[in-house]
Amino acid sequence: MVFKSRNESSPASDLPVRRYHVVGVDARCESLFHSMMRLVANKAGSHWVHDAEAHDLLVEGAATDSSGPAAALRRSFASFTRGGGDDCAMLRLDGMLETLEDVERDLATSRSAPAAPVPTAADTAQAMKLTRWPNASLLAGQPVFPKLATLMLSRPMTIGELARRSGLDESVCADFVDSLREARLVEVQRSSVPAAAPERSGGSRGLFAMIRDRLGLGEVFS
Amino acid sequence: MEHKIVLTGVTGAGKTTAIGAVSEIDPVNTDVRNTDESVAKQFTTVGLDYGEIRLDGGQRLRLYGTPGQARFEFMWRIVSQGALGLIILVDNSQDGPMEALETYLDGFADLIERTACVVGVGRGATHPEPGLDDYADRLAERGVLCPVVPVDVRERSDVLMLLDLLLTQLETKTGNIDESL
Repeated sequence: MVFKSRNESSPASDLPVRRYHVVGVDARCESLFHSMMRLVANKAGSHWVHDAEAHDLLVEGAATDSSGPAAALRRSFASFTRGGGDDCAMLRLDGMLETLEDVERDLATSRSAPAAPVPTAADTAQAMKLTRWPNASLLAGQPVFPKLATLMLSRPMTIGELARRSGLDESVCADFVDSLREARLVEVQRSSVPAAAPERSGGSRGLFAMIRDRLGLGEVFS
Repeated sequence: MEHKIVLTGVTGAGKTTAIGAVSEIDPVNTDVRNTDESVAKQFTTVGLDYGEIRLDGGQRLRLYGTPGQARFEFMWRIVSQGALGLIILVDNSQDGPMEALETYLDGFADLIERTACVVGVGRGATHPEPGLDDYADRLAERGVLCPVVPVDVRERSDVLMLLDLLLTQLETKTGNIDESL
């Protein structure tokens, strides 16, 4: 079962966002765990959201595959239940909160744990917009990079949109956006749906398409 | 129906060459009458570079290359009316290219705000200063968000790139974007 907690409203407070994932428990227990996590999400020092791809905390049930995804920190599912074990009927909010607070202390002292994880470009649901034109070194990788950057100038774009519009692999777009993110040149719109630009009246789409067709612009970066 | 894109830059930056690279007619220099009564009367006409691209249904995309000197700013406003966007050509081999860019950012501020802009930096291979990053820094300081790319206006592909980046901004800005570019 996949929970898209990252699409929920951002917390009103300025709590740093922490991400967690659960593996090695049955679907019922996972579902219950997510539900209870939502109840305590803002009660400790962070705002906790589920993210199966990148996370600070991996909660492992007994059936966990040892080759599970990497995380900054791991905790057993049992550490969240009263009396231990993987019986999710023993999950209690106060016990979960205590464990989360313990986790947050460890994360705070762990050099490997980012204080406020920045979403990675691999998260294709997040739309990103450029805040300034990148330095030339960031655009030198491929001839199409200036165009990718231009796509992100006027409105936030997801990795998927960039890939679809440029014809490049998502991995290429993700790497490019990651380099922009590391250079702090993008702002992230924390929503699965990028802001829709207002539709322009007067049939301009036809005009732009006509100009492109006439100039053969589709071939410039292909 | 007629549409236009404006190219500006100092004399010798390559406006005529750039227009000629994509125009379907030989670029011409045409006198355009000054209709702005607020400016000196002696400027009754001003020379503009002109080229055009024919579109479906009898429509035309007109390419105007403005005179570069700041004293023709009144003409910049006239030509900007109804334009789709602006291409600024900077010539690194001439004195004060950064100051020239500032002049055009001021003179075309309304058009840039309303539509989109691309800055093409020419002759950077032989005159690397200011660098592209210097221009990007200045644009950021001015709050202008637009592409800054090297360009050789003698190369049709480079001129097409400028137009492509301009159109890409317009498409994303207005929401009128094709599924694939």
